[in-house]
This record gives sequence, C-alpha cells and structure tokens, in this order.
Amino acid sequence: MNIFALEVWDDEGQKCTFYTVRWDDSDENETDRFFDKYDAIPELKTATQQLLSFVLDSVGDDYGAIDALFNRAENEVTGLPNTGRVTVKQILFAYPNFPLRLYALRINNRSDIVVLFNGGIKSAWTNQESKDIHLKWVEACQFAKRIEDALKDGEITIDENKRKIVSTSGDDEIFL
Amino acid sequence: MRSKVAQRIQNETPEEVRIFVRQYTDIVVRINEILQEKGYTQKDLATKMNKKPSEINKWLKGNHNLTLKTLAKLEAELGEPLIYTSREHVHAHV
Repeated sequence: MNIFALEVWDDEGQKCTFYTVRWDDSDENETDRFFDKYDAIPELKTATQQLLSFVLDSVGDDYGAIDALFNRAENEVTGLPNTGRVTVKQILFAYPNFPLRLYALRINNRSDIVVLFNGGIKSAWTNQESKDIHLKWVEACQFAKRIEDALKDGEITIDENKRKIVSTSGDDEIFL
Repeated sequence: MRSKVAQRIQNETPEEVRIFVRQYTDIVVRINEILQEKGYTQKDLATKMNKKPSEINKWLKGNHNLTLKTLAKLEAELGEPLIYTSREHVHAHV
C-alpha cells in the first residue's frame, strides 16, 4: 500500500473529531473527493447534503459516533449513514434505501474519533455487488487496517484530552 | 478546523435539510433507547402489533419519511413518547 497522510477533516463538533486520509501524491483528501463528486450531481445533491448533515450535525455535534448511528462493520469499516438494518436486539430504520455510502472507521470503537474515507453509490445489498463502491470499500478497508495496525504498534496514539490522534515520533503530520 | 469542501456544502445546504436530518436522528436514537430499555426485539414488537416480523421489517424500512401516523403507531406499541412538543408554548400563543 502506498503512503498516505492521516489528517483532521473536522474538529469543530462538540462530540466527535473526524479524520480523513490523503494519498501522499494527492492534493485532495478522500472524503473531500467523495463530497465534491456527489454534490456536483444534481440528482444526488440533496442526499449529499443530508449525509453531510448526518456526519457534522448528528454525529459531530449531537451524539458522537454511538452504536445506534452506525451500521454493523463490513470487514474493517462501517458505511454511513445507518440504514434500516435489523440487529439482534434493535430495530434500526434510518435512511432505508439511501443512495450513498461513506466509509468510516471508529477509532478503538470510541464515539469521539472517526476516520472518514471515500464512498459511492450503493446499488445493491452488499458492497461486493455494488459496482460503484466495491473498489472504494476495499480501499477503505486497507486504509483502516493500516491505521489499526499503527495504533496497535504504537506508531500513533490517542491524546485523550484533546480528542486527537498523535504521532508517537512527535511529528506534526502523520504519514502511514 | 473544518474541511473547506464540507464548509462550502454545509453553507449551501437548506436549513430544512439540516432540521430534517437532526430530527430524524433524534427519533432513531429515541426508539433505540426505548427498545434497549425494554429489552424488545423486532420479534417482540411484531408480536405486540400482531404482525409477522418480516412485515414489521418491511414496514419500518419502507418509511423513509416517517409519517405522524407511523410514529403514533410506534409510540403506542412502545408505550413511551417519541416526540415532545411544547404544548405550553403553543397555548401561550393561542
């Protein structure tokens, strides 16, 4: 896997800080790419705005990344927004048939730090069957695995007080 | 800091979209709280409503825009209020 930067995407919310990833040779991070792309498609503009509001308002400001707002993980990552999935003890029915999926990783299953990746149009029940997002899902899983490994190895750690991911080498920027 | 792309899209987002998303999320979280508090499963809810679990599942998933009628049915079955309105505030303006 090529080198990528792990950088803050939004830290203005009351409950959750969002990170994103940016390929070392790219000017734009993956989450901006996602929102830019689908905001420019007239048929998906409202869905894009709803998803952004879900991320920044509902998760970032109101609740944090709590279980009720996250679908079950699909391998390493979770698709946002939460969508009508029935779990053993709960019935969740937010945004059934929502057309977009944005992949995310809750750091150490915490509700206050989330890494956002890229995503796409969900056209089938599983990621494997949704042609548009299959590659983005695979890529998000690879990013997530690298980040989780870096946390396990102590390459990066969580600064509990600042709701922040920090490099143990003391560098301002995190490259993995 | 906030991503410039996120800030731009948020600035262009109609207020009603943000209100819808926040209220929808509030309702989802509230229903989950009640189900967890009462230890209900989808099957329990189906039994209480005298329906098949698959029907409940389909019914719930089919309602992207939850109607007041749907919410009233859910509230009746769950036995807890889902939405609070400020009745005193309304009366004060009548």
